[in-house]
Amino acid sequence: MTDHRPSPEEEQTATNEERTISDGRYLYCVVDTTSAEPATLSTTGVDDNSVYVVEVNGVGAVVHDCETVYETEDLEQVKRWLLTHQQVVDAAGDAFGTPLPMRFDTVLEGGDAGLKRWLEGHYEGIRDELASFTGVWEYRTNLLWDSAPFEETIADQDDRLRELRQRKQQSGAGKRFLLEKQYDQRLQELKRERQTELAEQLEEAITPVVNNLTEQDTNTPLHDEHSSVEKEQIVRFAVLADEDNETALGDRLDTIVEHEGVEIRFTGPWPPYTFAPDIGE
Amino acid sequence: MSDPKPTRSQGDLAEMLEMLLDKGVVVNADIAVSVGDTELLGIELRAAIASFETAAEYGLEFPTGTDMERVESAANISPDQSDPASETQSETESTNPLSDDSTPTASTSTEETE
Repeated sequence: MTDHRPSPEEEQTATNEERTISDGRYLYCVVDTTSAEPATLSTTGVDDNSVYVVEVNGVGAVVHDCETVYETEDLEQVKRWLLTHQQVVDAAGDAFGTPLPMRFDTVLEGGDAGLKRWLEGHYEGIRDELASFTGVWEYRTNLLWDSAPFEETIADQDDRLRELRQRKQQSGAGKRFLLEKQYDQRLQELKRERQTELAEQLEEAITPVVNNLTEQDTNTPLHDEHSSVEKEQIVRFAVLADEDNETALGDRLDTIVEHEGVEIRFTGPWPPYTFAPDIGE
Repeated sequence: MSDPKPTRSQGDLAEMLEMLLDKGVVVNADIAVSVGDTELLGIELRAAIASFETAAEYGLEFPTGTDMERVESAANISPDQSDPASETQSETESTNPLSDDSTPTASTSTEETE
């Protein structure tokens, strides 16, 4: 069948575009409030709103009151919202331990009563999830590679490359062009092998000290001043690790960095965004 | 060489934004208001982000060796940036109770650069 039906997302967007929100609660994260002081968070929420916690039997939703979702064409504004959002989640994590972080711009309707009903409706699941994340955080490890040193070394080490180089020197222009192509193909092949090897070594090195590991897409336009132009992003992992293993994880990453041309970016601790479950049907 | 400690600094801003827009708990419920596709927003945002100017604007940490004067003069410090007062924003305090020096730096702190 070839008829195009709108995806669930498209349908939802269409139905919600003009929606006014009645007694909305902007939801940052859900936390375990059993071991913490009564819930006040010394931080201001998105758009300068007051942040507070709505509790049901030791499970708390960190929220602020809102009448609208946060939408804008202004990227600077979005950035400010995101940073503020994360500050609130960080403060919640400090006060209550690892939070269950919501995706940005999650709003529930129906006021505190509606929110409590929602918490009660998913109480067991949320409690179990919170328990599973106790004392663990998300870390990101990005492996970047500058292939220049490898290319230099392999040119002398690889028999096929050496042979092609010698033949090139003894050939006329036309033949030389073809040999050049073959040389490049062989070099690319060797580079790909090396990249796979590095990614495998990284995964192998960190697996013993993490609870969970998932590979992330490297095709995101994450160009920042941190990574140099020559370095290519080879692999990104999001891992879930016990906070007590943070140092061990860093030490293991260091063993990978000893390879020529390799740089590792190690970020965290983050709330477990990548490992967060969906809640609801 | 990498630092064996995890960071939450200037270069990690893009990663944080991506997580907030693409990951995290999705609530499926009648009372949840859907905002549409935050992931698309994320792609747009990432393309525009994590420049030196951005980092300086939010008072983030720079890699050593950065020409700070150039960066500061290039940055438009946003007037409506409130000073984050939360305790997560200090480099001397850890977001996790580790006793050694594996204290990450908060990504949104207004701290002195090194």
